[in-house]
Amino acid sequence: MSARYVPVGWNATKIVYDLVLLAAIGIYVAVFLRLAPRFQHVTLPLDDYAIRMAAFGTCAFLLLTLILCIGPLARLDRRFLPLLYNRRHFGVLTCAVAATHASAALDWYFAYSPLDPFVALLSGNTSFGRVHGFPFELFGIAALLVLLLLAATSHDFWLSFLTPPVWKALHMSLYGGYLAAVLHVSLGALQEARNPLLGVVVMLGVGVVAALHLAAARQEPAAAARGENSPWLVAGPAAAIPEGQAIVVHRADGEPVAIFRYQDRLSAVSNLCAHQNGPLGEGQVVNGCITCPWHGFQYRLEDGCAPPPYTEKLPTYRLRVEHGLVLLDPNPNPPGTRVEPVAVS
Amino acid sequence: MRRRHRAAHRAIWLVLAVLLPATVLLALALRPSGPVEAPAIRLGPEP
Repeated sequence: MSARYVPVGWNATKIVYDLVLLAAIGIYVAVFLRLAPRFQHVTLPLDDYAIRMAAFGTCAFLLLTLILCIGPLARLDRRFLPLLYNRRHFGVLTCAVAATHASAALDWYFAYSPLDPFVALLSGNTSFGRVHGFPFELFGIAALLVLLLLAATSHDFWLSFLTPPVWKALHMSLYGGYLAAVLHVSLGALQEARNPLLGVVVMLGVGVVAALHLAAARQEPAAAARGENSPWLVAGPAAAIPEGQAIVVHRADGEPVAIFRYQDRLSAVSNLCAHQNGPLGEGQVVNGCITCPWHGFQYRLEDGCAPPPYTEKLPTYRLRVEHGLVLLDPNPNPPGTRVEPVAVS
Repeated sequence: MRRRHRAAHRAIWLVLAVLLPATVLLALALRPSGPVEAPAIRLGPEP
């Protein structure tokens, strides 16, 4: 089975999620551009370029802070799970906003430099020995590089190609990126800010993110002891699974699982056909049986067993549907174990 | 694997929970006090 490239699989949930995000970003930037000139200091008036740079910079920082809140919020309260789904699009949009801020900064600071803007950016300030005037731009570059790397590898192709453990480790570099962004803001905009609002927002942002992560980490052992913290994976919205077909999700160890929808009920089995490891998730349900696209081997949805007289069996998985999202228990049942299909609604 | 990932996650956030607010507070504390730039000079009469 190969790691096939599939362009973004759009569905209604993803489109609404992205439209809400785009609208929120648009409104924030528009309001910022309108209101910022009223708050500028009389001794240091800002021009349109500087205000635009600040609008996109603060927007990127707030988006990054929100992204980091989603994970612990979803662990603390399952009602936040829909935010977790499609978080990668959130990250890509944040990267685009941060890149716009960087582009505006290059235009603003180095438009008239005789040097190449990138050379000027890296060599223009070497005051490493002091806080006020420290080359904070370097932290911004580091944060932007992390965001670009994560955005570039956010597609499922990379998840499959790199394997989930490597991909997850790579994407934990976002925490380093956030630290770099906080340093960038603290040593840059915060040093120049005449208005205390920026300091309050940044402090509040890092405080909330840190508190949520600590609260979620603290809750884990207690929840595990109560048996509530089985590591259910978010597989996506039930509405995204076409009738008679499947979506494929990967367990943390990289093992693929196919989740089929048939007559508005969901069943999950290993994605690997017992015959020659064919990709079952690319097949269809024919006459009530999962049918392998390679050689037509068939399996029953409810127990992963091939209908008689055949004897092949697949491991099955438990599913749950909450708030329209499909949750998968990544612990496989022994091959042939019956699991009652779950109703979509 | 998942447990190791969670443990790494927890350790990272224990460090960041101290480091992030400390960075912001330190940066705020070390801000230069008083005027750092001369006021703008008006070269003409009030419009």
